[in-house]
Amino acid sequence: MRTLLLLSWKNIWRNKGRSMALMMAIILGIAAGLLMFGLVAGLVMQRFNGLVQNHLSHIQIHHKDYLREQENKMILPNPQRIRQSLAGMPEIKGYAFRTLSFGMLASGYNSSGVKITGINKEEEGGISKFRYNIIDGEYLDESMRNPLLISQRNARKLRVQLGGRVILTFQNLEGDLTSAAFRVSGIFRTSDSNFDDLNVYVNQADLQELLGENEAYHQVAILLESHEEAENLAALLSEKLPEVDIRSWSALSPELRILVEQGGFIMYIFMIIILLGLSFGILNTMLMAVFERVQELGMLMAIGMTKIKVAAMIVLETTFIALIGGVIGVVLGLGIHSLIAEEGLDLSGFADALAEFGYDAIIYPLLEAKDVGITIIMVSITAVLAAVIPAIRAVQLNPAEAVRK
Amino acid sequence: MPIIQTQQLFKIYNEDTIPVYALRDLSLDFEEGEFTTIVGPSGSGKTTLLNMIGGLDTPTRGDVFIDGTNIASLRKGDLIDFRLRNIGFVFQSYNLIPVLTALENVSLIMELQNLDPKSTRERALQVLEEVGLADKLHSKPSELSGGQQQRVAVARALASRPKFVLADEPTANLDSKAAMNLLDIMAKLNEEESMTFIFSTHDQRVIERARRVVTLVDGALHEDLVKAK
Repeated sequence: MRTLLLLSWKNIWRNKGRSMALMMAIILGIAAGLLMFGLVAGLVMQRFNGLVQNHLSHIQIHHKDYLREQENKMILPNPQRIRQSLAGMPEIKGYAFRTLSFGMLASGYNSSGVKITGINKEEEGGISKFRYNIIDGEYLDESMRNPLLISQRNARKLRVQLGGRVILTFQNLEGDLTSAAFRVSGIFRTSDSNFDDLNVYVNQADLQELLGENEAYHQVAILLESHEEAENLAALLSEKLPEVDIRSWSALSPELRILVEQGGFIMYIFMIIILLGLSFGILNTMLMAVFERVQELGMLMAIGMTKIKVAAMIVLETTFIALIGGVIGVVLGLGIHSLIAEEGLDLSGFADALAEFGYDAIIYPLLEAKDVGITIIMVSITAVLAAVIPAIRAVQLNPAEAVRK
Repeated sequence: MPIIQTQQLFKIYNEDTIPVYALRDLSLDFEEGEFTTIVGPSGSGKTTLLNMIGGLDTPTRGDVFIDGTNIASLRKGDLIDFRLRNIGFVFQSYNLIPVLTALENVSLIMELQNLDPKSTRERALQVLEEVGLADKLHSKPSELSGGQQQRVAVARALASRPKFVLADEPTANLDSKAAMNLLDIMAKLNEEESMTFIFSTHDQRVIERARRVVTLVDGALHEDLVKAK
């Protein structure tokens, strides 16, 4: 074994340029793979966190028919019972009751169809980071009468500014149209332009008053300590509160569930494409190495080296190259990752396009130890598999003919 | 009992179409301690005979006995092991491993035999000294002359203490001085250690030094001349 190791090790330095080129391909492949793993995982987690922390939360409770009909009159029955059920559950980080309505937002210049969310600032603060999206003004300034949060896109569309007046028109619980003037207290911008186009926020009490019912709640948003508990807890709550509709984030947003579940799968597809390219590089290089050493391989077999040892020597050579390339590639990949992890990868140039799909312009890569491990394992397997054909070619040589070539 | 016996050896290519006889009905005995050359024009079957004796090729018909073992009947794996333990090879193009030093090239065959490192080193040093390369232990083949490289190849062939050494045109790539030097070393090993050498060659210098000259023509035995001592 020592001989094989020594011989394989020395053989890879026989043609330094070629071995280095192959190592470079492995280094770049792994570094790019790790970077991509990190970026895709970061992108997915940012999208997940953005949705969960801005408005979706982990679990939502609605009136049985609200999600299907979305009528204002479908308010939550017995909110006090819901509060009692949620209180004291250790898995729950916080919850907020929300009042919702769909209506028309109009300025003197333009109008837009919007979803109006009435929030209790204190409750909302416990479950949402929405306030960090406010780029101008205040988070529902209570010194103002009927304060309203509007997105930057809608503010531009309606040509309103901070302190400007807009009219919200919607149905009250009786089904009658009601209108009220609101003042722009703050302007927000999230990474999701579709969300920005469709949402405005007002004080819950103001909206409830206009709806004609002080205890009108349409939604309870619940944030958990861990998103992985959402399914179980939603099922548990459904048993406790059978009169309402309780859904986890994955049921509320199937596209988000697919993104989280398939994000990893997509990364593996990319990785396999990189590795496929790499395997052809290894195959080509090792075949050349075998063809150049026909006489020598013939001699080794003639003097008594078994075919298994000859094949092992070729595979070992590839493994050494892959190991060196792999270690440097991982170090390089982690280095690049740590360089951009703090500041994020700034794709501001594509901010508008990314926002259309709900993604941030700055991506913070997220790399887990298991991703590094999987990358190393996949590269190692690729290297060994790519060496199989050259190894077979080597052992197929006829020693008597090979020594005379 | 001869150390090598070939009995009615035939090697026929394209037997089913247009048969080409590389060897025909060749029966030869080689005794221990012989210093023999196989000669003959190109295509006469010299290398084919060496390949058969060395277990690198199998006869179409006939048998090859090495020290009583019919190597034609050995399984492939056993044959490789048999070669490793019983036969030393010297090739025309030296066939040293360029990335290994002279010492490592010689040690290689003993490491394949799983000999312990201490004995391996001792034996490698001994044979390299015998071929006059004690001062070139750590030189790589590219740092050695053709003659020196071939002497390393001889040392490698001897290192595993084989029953005999097969040398396929060992002096073909050497200048006169290097060839004579190599022959001197092999003759000395033959005389002092009774090592059996069988060469295939065109080289008159080798033929002159050999004590037995086997001449092949068209794969058949033409002459088997044993010179008087």
